[in-house]
Amino acid sequence: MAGQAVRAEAAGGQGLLVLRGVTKRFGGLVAVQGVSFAVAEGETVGLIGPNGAGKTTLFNVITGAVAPEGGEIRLGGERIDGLRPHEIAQRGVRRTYQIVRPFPNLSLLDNVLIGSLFGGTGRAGEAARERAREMLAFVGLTDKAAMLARDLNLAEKKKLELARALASGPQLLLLDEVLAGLNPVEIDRSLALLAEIKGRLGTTIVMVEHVMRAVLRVSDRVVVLHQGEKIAEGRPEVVAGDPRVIEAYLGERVG
Amino acid sequence: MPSRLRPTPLLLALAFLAFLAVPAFQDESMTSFCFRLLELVAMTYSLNLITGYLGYVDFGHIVFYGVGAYTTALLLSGGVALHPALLILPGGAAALLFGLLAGYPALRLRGAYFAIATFSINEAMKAVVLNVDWLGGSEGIPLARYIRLELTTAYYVLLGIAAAVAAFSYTAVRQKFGLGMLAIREDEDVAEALAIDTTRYKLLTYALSGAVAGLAGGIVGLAHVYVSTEYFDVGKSIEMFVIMMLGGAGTALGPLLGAFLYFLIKDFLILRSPHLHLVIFGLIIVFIVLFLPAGLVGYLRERSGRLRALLE
Repeated sequence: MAGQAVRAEAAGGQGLLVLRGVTKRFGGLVAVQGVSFAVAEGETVGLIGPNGAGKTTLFNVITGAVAPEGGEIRLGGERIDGLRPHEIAQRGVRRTYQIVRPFPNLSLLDNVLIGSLFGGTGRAGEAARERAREMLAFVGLTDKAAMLARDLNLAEKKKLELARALASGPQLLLLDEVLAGLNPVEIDRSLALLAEIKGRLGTTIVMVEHVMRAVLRVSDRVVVLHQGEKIAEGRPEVVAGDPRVIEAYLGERVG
Repeated sequence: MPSRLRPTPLLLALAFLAFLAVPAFQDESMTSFCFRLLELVAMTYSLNLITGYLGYVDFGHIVFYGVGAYTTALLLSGGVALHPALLILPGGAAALLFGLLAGYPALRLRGAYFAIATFSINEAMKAVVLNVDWLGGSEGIPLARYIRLELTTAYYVLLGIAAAVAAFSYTAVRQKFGLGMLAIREDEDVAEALAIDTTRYKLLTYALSGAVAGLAGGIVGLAHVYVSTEYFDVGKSIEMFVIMMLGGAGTALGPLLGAFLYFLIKDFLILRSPHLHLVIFGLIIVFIVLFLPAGLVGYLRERSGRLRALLE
């Protein structure tokens, strides 16, 4: 444990996103306990762990939706813990939601337009509209631009959220289970899309994911949470073979 | 994109031009009827900003109307000599300020809690006005001594207010400010996570819609040369709600269409069944809420993507 903390500390020196000893409790329940890790610019980090490990809570803490009780969070060297969510978003952090939350009664174009109008790199007028169309094309929803978001299926809603999050040209993208609930074909398409976000846009990504195949394929590095604590961190193929990780997911071998 | 015919601004322009022509007929009762209609049009557009576009149900919206009317009346009776059309400006400003002060705590609440808070704000103001002597108490403030305002003048001023807020409603949703309001209505937390300063947006919308209602209250007070606690009557708030629901909340045509429909139905019912008209009206409202929750414009918009592009 101590050795790990030291390594995290060392990694914490540089990096776009740096978490140090982040803790969040809900009453007596400790959702996230002293979690430290860093994400370098351009890197894709997979955040994995069994249900209730604290992954989504960690996203909520990073985006300011809930305030951490302890620790600090830095974005590009500047402390962002304690800021209001829109202030953190203003600094280029965007997220998608595990349970999708597009703006249901607005057109797809307006959904993405809102994404491109606001934020640090916010555009105005026709430039914002153009950017919104580009992003819809990027996720392959151009022909549905005038539809209402509530009329989409789940896979499309997830793509729409992705387009909305990307529209402002974020520095850091937090993806909360973008693949959950998709069928194998849709997963392949979404993975191709993620590869493009990484390759073409160069966006730094932290992704919570249960689809291991996807995590192994897309992530440069993996952080494993278990009961709110970080239990492993490293290259995906190494972490996947780590006995502690296997134990956390599958339980202890009997006999 | 090729420029297409846009029926919404056309319909709005035609309707307000028709209103503009009304006084030319020199028919006092017709002008007076249209004055009442315009009052509800302006008030409903104002309510539509906070409730239709921002999604915050404001049951006490009439409080702004009262604040505007009383501010204007107090200035006039206090001897401020200004053209009546200018006298309503401080009324609007007072309503704006009131919106900022009351909205700051109230807008921390969401959903039904906000709605109840607005209702209470209005009742509190009404109680204050009723019990403070220099505010006229239960007798109100008669203004006939100070002013003689042509109905036509008041009519044009009110028309200007109604047309301005309608035009604002139509243009806002194509711009940053309007889209910010819609985002908050759809999902406030997501809006916040998309870098929208929701607190600021909510406060501005509440105060701005309040200012419009304050201006309307001011000019109506001057036209009737009398203000009283009737200007805080929650019944009028409900009337605005019915009109908004009838026409379609969160649309630019809804309040105008709703006001026409409301008057049509109401007058028809009063003529045909003077004793039961309120009962029947209540049934109509229940019917709308059950089967046309998005109102007339909203219903048509939901029917097809084509109509959605045409009706806004």
